[in-house]
This record gives sequence, structure tokens and C-alpha cells, in this order.
Amino acid sequence: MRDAAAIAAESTVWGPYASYDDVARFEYGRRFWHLPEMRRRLLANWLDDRHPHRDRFIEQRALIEGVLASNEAVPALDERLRGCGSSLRCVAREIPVVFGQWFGPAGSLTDD
Amino acid sequence: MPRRELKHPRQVEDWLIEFGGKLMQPGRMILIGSGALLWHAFQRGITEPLPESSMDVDPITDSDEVAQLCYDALIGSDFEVAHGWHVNLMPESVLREFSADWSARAATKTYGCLEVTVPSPSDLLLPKLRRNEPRDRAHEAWAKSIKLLT
Repeated sequence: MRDAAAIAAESTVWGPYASYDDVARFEYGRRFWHLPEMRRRLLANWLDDRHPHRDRFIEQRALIEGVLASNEAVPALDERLRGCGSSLRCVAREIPVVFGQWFGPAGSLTDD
Repeated sequence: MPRRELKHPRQVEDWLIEFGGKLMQPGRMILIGSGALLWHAFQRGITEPLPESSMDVDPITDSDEVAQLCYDALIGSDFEVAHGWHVNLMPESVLREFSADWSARAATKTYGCLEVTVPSPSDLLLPKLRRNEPRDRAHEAWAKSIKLLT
């Protein structure tokens, strides 16, 4: 696990009222993005016709996937996103939730 | 609506035994929230159920395999259907809600390849009492009544 100093350095990125759900989707999403099977399952879930945020994800897919594929430290990633007019808080909020009902290993991928 | 059927100390212990048995490689988990309070109760042989129950356990991990197993038990999953509660994977940054020295008072236990670290009951209650919802106060009262707090 990271030490308290590393976690504290990230606190300014997430702000005083951090949404831990957003942070979790970012942290674990980034971890899973480097595992091909988990990446496949996440995409299948988010691109499923039943997902209420499917269209929103498709609109911002490149940005979200870029963040999930990154290896930068959180403060550096946030600084880079701010240079593009966004922020890590904003992009993390856009990472779709995962619906457990269809997150099975056999989930199909409908790619656009 | 998520199901809210996590109330018996035994449920958390049984889940960790099963979880540890599935791991192929060593992995670590920090357990917080109501599930962690139930864990402490089980370790002390207490069977008193948690008032107002809970809908989830809240683990934190830096292990890919542990995280994957937790994601298989998300809200809406077959796990929730079978158990009546789900796993809500939390980010490491939530630990800033605890005292800086929480680990000095934490308990650890190994289940197969899984090493579980659980903050003390007093440390677990700090963020809950800061939130101060009726369920949080009920959980504090329960912890006091079964003498989890020293």
C-alpha cells in the first residue's frame, strides 16, 4: 500500500469533498486497464446497450481510456489534464459504473 | 435497491475464508466499515447481529487478484443475489479519514493466501461518527454493548 505522504499528496487533486466512489473507479479502473481480460470485461459492461451511460462513455471514450491507460502519478496526471481544460476529478467522474448484473467473464463485447 | 442482509459476524468470516481459498497468489486487504466491526465481533466469539444491517463490506487492496475477486461481487452481481450483500471496493485514499497511526492498533489475520488487516474498532468508528447518521450511532451503540470498544 502507498504511504500516508503519497496519499496526502493526492488530496489536493481530489479536493476536500472527495467522492471515494469516483476515486475507486479511477484507481481500480487504472489497475484493471493493464489486465487484458479485465479491460475487455469493463468495456463490454460500459458498451452494453443496457448501460445508461453508454452513449456518454462513447462520446468521451478516448479521454477516459487515455486516463485509464496512464501510469503517471496522480498529481502529474491532473496537471496534464488541466493543461487540456479538464481535471482528474472531472474525468474520474466520467468513468462509468460497472453493473454487476452483466460483469461476468462471459460478457460479450459490442464495440463501436 | 441493494440488498441489506449483512448482520451476523459469521458472514464476514465465512466470506474471508472462501475468498482466501480462491486466491492463487499472496494478496493483501484492509477491511473497514461495518464489515470490519463484524469481523472484530466474530474474532471475540460474539454472535449479536448488527443493528440495521449493512449492504456491503468495504475492502481496500493493492493486489490485482484481490481486486478482481472483489469486482466479481459488486452490487447487482450473482454474489449479491446469493449472499444478500455486496463488496464495495474502496480506494486507499479513504484511509486519510482515519488517524495517522491507525495501523499501530490494527489486527491482522491470514486466510490462505489472503492477509487481512483490520483497524481497531475505535479507529473504524471515527469516520462513521463524523458522518453521524442514525445507522452510524446505532453501530457505535452496538459496538459498545458488545464491548468492542476499550
